[in-house]
Amino acid sequence: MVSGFLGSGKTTFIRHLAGYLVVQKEQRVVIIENEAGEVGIDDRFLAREGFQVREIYGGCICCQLTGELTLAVNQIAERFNPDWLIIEATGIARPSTILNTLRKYGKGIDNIFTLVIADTGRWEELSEIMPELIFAQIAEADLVIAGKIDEASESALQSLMAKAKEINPRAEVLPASLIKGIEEPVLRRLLQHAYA
Amino acid sequence: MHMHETAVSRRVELRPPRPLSAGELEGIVSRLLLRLAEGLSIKGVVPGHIKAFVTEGEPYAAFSCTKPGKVVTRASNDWSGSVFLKPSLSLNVVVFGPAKDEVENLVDGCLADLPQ
Ligand SMILES: Nc1nc2c(ncn2[C@@H]2O[C@H](COP(=O)(O)OP(=O)(O)O)[C@@H](O)[C@H]2O)c(=O)[nH]1
Ligand SMILES: [Mg+2]
Repeated sequence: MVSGFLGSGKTTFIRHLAGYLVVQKEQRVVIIENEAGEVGIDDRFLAREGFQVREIYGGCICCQLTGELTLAVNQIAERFNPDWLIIEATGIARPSTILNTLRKYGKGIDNIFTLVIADTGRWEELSEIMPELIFAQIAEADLVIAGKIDEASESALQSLMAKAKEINPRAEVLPASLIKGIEEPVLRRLLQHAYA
Repeated sequence: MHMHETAVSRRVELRPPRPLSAGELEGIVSRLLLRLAEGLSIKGVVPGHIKAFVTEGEPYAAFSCTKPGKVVTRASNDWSGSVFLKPSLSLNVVVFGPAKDEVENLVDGCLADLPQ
């Protein structure tokens, strides 16, 4: 499951990860897209790029639409039996509530791995504007990707790393720029975590 | 529960008086997102995400803005050589802070300036 604030880079990351898994690893991958707002954009974009995508509309799978999430996960398991199911949460979601639903009702799930993409480029501003949400997203992840380091100051990265260590000491933090793809070391660490 | 966020989505078909090149259409949509970002930013960032998806037939382009003054575009391979007669534009604005009607007024005001 991929969480992280609005615009932090979730879809960008998923596009690269899914591409790698499908092309290099010949894995069956299905993506669930849950977007805030009534018009889906990421799902159409990913579908046009050739990925198998299921969109969940009209609300957030962490609160109003837990039933739709269960239904989607179980239908996907039945129809596609994928090796990987990648879920993009809305940028306003708390990952823990989605995890609860998946653990309770999700069929055919061997292992759930949660990562959060933090927006290093807006870190200092966002942690002043809405600290609660972005800290909670970090606190509930197995792995933290500090994205957009190409457009962030060193001090923003340091402050993000320190905060992540403080609120979620068990999670590794991987700094990354995702715009051109996921760098090899980040990908390797990620897969190690995911298969652990 | 969530902090207070506001989501405004619109889907419109543009009706330009003459066919648009990909570059012209890209300019129109980019300027739309820049105007919205200008109106919605706090502390120099967009406290959310402003996105658009534009297509007519096969070619498509996705637009994204999280900081005022900066729009990122990702387009299909056949985008740049295409000509557009009545492209469909999907817009999705999700931000923290302002009230729903405030964002709606801004969005609809900006959209009204496009050829529809
Ligand atoms: N400079 C830079 N931009 C990025 C990076 N990752 C994502 N972006 C851009 O950030 C914007 C939001 O990305 P998106 O994946 O749509 O975010 P989402 O809302 O979390 O799914 C897009 O314009 C991306 O191109 C990065 O590492 N560096
Ligand atoms: Mg997205």
